[in-house]
Amino acid sequence: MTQSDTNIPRRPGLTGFGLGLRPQHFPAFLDSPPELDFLEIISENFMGEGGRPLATLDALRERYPMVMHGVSMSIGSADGIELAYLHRLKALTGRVRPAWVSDHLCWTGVHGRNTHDLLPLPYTEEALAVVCENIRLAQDVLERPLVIENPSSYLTFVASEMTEWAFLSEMCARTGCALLLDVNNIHVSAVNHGFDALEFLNNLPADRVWQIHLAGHTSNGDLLIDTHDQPVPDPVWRLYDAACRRFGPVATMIERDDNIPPLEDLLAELEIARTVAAEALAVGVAA
Amino acid sequence: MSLLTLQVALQDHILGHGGNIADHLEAPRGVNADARLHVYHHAYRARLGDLLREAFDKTWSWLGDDAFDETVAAYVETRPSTGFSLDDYAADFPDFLARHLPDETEAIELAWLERAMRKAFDGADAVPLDPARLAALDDAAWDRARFAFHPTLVVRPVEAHLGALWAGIESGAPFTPPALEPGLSVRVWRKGLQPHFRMITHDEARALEQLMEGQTFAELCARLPSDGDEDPVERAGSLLGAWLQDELIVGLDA
Repeated sequence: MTQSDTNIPRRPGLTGFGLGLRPQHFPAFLDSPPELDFLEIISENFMGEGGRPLATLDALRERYPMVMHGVSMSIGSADGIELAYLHRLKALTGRVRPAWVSDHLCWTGVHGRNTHDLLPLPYTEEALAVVCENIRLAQDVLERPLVIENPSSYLTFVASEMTEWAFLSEMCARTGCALLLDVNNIHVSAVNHGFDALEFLNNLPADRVWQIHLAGHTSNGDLLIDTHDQPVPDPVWRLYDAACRRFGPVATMIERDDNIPPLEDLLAELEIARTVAAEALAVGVAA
Repeated sequence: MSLLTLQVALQDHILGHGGNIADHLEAPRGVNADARLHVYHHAYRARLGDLLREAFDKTWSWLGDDAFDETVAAYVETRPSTGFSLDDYAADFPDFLARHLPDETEAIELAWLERAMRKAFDGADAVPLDPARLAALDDAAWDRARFAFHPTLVVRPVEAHLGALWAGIESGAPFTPPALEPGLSVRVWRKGLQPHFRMITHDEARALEQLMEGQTFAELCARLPSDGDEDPVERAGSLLGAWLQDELIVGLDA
């Protein structure tokens, strides 16, 4: 599916507040399913042939709308993306029937190697062309628009010719893809690279923002490290408030990848997100 | 420098192959390129190390920190990942361990068992055979009966008493495992959603292998050696009962 500027896919109806499904919470979700507007699954966690992961997925899919979030597409790899992965992802979409499928603006490896990391790209015209070609291929195979998440990063390339937000905006315009805005990643990258996080937010195409991630990070003294293993800190809440004012109601979730707390803790954190969004949207409407 | 050349240079740095990627990086906020690159260099090793420690936690407990971490470091530095699946990256670790520490029989067999249990965890589903179907077979049907086994079932000869090892490690208390003993076997499979393993006799292992290769149950009865007071047919019946109880059998061709 190749999109032109005049045929950009519109955001599906999913909004509200959700969580990322983690195996540690399988029993809690099955025993006492909390009220959530959606669940996000890590696609790679459900690419086995059967057993508990898929049985749990099927049971929870009966109850919750879902979105799929991947870490392995490597849309920034200059030597192309792995078709076998795309076909496994496509098969999973048939089972999950997600509102959308997301991955990251990054690359994980080249020449048959995989670092299992979300490696940063230089923001160049060449990289933009590579990313857009790979997104078009993925969208053709998956038969749906992709949703691309902004990465957190620690490297600034001499070769970069544009800002990250200019790169993301042009990527959306050229491919029709949408954005998953990780507000923590914006904050981490803004601190690490010395740019203004609000300038990042204010220069994104508002109609392309389909989902928001909220998370925490740590500091190694020199840099903020995107560990996703801490509660959402105040600077990220403030940035989320600004994002709500700019983008309106967007599907929002807490994304915790390590140091996983009890489900109740994440539900309490999600309540804060609901409050921040409600207050920001009330101000936005009044304004 | 093309994007591909830049990516190869960064990947080489992360994998420990050197390269000149630092020349292509800036140092905003006074944090130099080496400090920035270290984040990725460290994260690669930490991520794969954490994966292997979690996937082989009993092997780790048995070997201790020094021997296990040294083996993990050797694996990570010499075996770059070639696929998107982290789970696949762990798949070759037991064979690597067997070559790296060839005298550590208990650790080698524990690592194999942990990997087999992980594969059984999300292996293919199958519906267990209803024992009532066997009750309905006449003699002629029994003569030609073949069974299909759960797709997660694997059988392997071992020397370590893996059940005692597993339980001892899980207890967290000091324990002395039984000595190695040639001629043991273990089977691993999933019952419902739960992976299981069971130490079995050599006869049972051989019987399972023959049936999995397509032998009929009647042929098994004819070839099974007697076990003490039990004649071969009774012995085969006992095994069949245990397999049905464990939900190992998922198909009948009779």
